[in-house]
Amino acid sequence: MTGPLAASFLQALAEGHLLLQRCSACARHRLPPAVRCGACGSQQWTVVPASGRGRLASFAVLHRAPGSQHQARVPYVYALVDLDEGPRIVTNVVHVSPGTLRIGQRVTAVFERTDDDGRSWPDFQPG
Amino acid sequence: MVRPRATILGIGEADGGKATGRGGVELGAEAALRAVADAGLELDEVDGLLVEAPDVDQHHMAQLALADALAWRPRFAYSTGCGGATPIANVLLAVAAIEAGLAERVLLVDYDARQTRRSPDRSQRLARTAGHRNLWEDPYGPITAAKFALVARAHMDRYGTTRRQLAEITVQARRNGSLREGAQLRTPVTVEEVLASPPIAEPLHLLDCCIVSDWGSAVLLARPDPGASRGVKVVGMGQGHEGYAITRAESLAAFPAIAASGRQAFAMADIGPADVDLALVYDSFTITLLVTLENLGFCEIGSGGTFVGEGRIGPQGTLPVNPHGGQLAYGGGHGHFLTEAVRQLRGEAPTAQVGGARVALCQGTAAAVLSSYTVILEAAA
Repeated sequence: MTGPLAASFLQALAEGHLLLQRCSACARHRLPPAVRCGACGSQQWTVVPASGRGRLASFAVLHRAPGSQHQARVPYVYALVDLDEGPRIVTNVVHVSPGTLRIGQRVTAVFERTDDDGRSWPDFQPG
Repeated sequence: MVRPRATILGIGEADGGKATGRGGVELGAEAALRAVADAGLELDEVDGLLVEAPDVDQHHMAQLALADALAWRPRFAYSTGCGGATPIANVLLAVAAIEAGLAERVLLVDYDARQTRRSPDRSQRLARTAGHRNLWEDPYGPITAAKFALVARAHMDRYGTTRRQLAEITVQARRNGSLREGAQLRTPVTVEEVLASPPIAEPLHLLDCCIVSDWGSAVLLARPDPGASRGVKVVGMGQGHEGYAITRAESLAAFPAIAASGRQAFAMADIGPADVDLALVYDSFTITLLVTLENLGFCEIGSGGTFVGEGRIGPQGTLPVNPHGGQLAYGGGHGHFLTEAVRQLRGEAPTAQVGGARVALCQGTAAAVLSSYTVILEAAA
């Protein structure tokens, strides 16, 4: 899914910010980008900047990594965050002792890591 | 009297388990031939083949690679990919093919050489092959256990489920496996040992996770045959799908795909959960089995932690579950839930035979817990 549908979102990540897809018909937000709105079926959409604010929906503390690029970060927190705009996304929670995390707590995006393609995927931290 | 949709004429399992050094196709072929022999037939009397597309030992036309290895030319052949639920998903497809007149007798085969072919790179051990890539999740370093850990954490938070309750599932599976010759893990474990095993994706630890195996399994399915004295009948089938990405789950509290697969199967069989003598339920992780029992209706949503304790899912319990040991002890393969169901309904289980078993529910979960297939099997009259 690196074609035109995802292009503007990936370009934004390369510039260090997160965009959401916004349905032109019903105004619901979504991410990852999809070709139609799951709520109303419309295929018309625009992009809007994400607030970067949300709540922790669930989290796991990973002690094994899927590849060498993540190995140095073990243990790290793999999480689901419900953005204030609505979408639930996968992320990492950083700058936190995992034992203090609780479901429902407020979190805010931070852009600190850059992948091999120069994209800065947002992590989240408490607050 | 419910109309049977098909009869299972034979089952077979290859000599798998730990790294065998054999290719997946070889394991699949061995299982297939054993299933045909178990049915008292010759391979040339079988005309259909459904193969689970292997995840590690990949081939772009696995059905014909397997047919070539068997020097066999079926008239109906496909490979399918429904994750660990594929053998059960293929029961539904085989019944459809038979009812459409496309095949008379269909072999369902699943195999992989995951122990032998696992990456030498230790960090890649929980294999993420090309087919698993997800642009929006991979930057965050997911491992297979991660999604299940998210489900487990949410269940604990919402319902008060404990690690100790999850550990009871492993304890029962390992007890069952310890009795069963051919099971990959033959030593029982205690709750304390499960709790003390290394953390993988907390709250899940190593002994909450299924094992990795080389395996081959096969089931031979045909149109309903009331004369087949050992023929196990397929009387109910269902499936449901909420999505692939974990973010497609409407909630982390209940899993409607599992519930839908059970509801359809129960309706077709005209029975309910209370009529089931034993359940063969996918246990990729302890939490998988727990939420599946809840969502199939064997207990209330949220009460699974209590339900799985005190021997209730043991062979003499109120609902015997995976008396062979499941993926937590018997093997990391996918088809053994079906083969064990058939052994139990024939009264031929070598250990942990559930007394008087007439009705078995057999279920497979995929896409974490967002996709599910269920079949209900009944013993021959």
